Amino acid sequence: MSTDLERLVVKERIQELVYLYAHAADRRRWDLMEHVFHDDAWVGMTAAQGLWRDWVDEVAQIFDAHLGETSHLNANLLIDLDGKVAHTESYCVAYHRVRADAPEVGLFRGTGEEYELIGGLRYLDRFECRDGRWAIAERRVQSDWRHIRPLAEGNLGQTPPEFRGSVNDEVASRDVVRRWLS
Amino acid sequence: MLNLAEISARMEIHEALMRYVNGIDRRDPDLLRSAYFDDAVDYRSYHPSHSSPADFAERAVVGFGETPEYSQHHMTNVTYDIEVEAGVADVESYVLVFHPIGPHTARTLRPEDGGSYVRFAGARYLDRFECRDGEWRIARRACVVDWARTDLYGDPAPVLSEHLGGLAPGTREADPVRQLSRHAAS
Repeated sequence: MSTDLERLVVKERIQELVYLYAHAADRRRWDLMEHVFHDDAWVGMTAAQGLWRDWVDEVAQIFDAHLGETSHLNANLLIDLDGKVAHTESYCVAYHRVRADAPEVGLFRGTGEEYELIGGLRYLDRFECRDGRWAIAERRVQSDWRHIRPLAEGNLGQTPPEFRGSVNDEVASRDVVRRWLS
Repeated sequence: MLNLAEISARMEIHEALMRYVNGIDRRDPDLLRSAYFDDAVDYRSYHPSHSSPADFAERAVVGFGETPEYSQHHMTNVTYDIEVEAGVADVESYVLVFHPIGPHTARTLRPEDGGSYVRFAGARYLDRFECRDGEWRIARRACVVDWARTDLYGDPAPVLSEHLGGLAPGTREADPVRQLSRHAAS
């Protein structure tokens, strides 16, 4: 490749897929992960590791059993683009609300009380372009810090349900991923 | 694949998102309003009905109070669904918010919350953008809060202006971002 404009388009697409992953996890729209990963992609993080389809099945079960709201806020994104391959580092602040009735195993082990696990982490990804489609071929997560505290949500409890995030919202945020769902 | 028209639209929408956060953190109602069309509607949990941009800007700027009580809105993930030809877009943007709550922010508090707390929240703006006369702005905004956390300030409470000497954060023209800008009035 490539012209500056082509590189700009590719970087925009890579950023979009980083964000799509966060949306898919936080809204539990696991089907969207099809667009994030290549078929044979490998994922490694504390909670689960493996080929992405096995990994996503395991993560979906962990989220269902252990977690309420999650929020993956992506910040710095560095992209090293070299032809059909790009290595990226993306920072993320990941909030997890662990349920009181979560099973007493694993990263999000239950304690009988609701609590928050907030982590600072980096995704180290290898994106590849295959047949014109950019997606992740390998994702490794490195955790830089982790903070665990009892829940203290202040007056959020008085917020009406329609203004609180919902993991399975059928309507509120669906439009922004419409073209990925169809 | 993306084309340049779509990327250009994304950049313009992103600039409007940034005007909003800069306007709120610097307490500048005009800048805040410039993210919206005048006839836009804004939905918030802490207000009984929807607001116009003018009403919201007034309420937000007064409600947050003056510095040295800071607020920070960190925009992170933005996901776009844009129809460039039609001039409409659905946009989800994540925001990490830090702001104080206390007597000076009474509009968002219950009466019993008399002290000064720091609030830390993860929220998303679910926006309908439109392009009118070549300009992308918000036509409808709903703010959804995913999580929040409220803590007492440490003892003593941090006063940023004492730590930062001459570069204390401020509102509108008093903030270093405006003073140091090459656009600042000489």
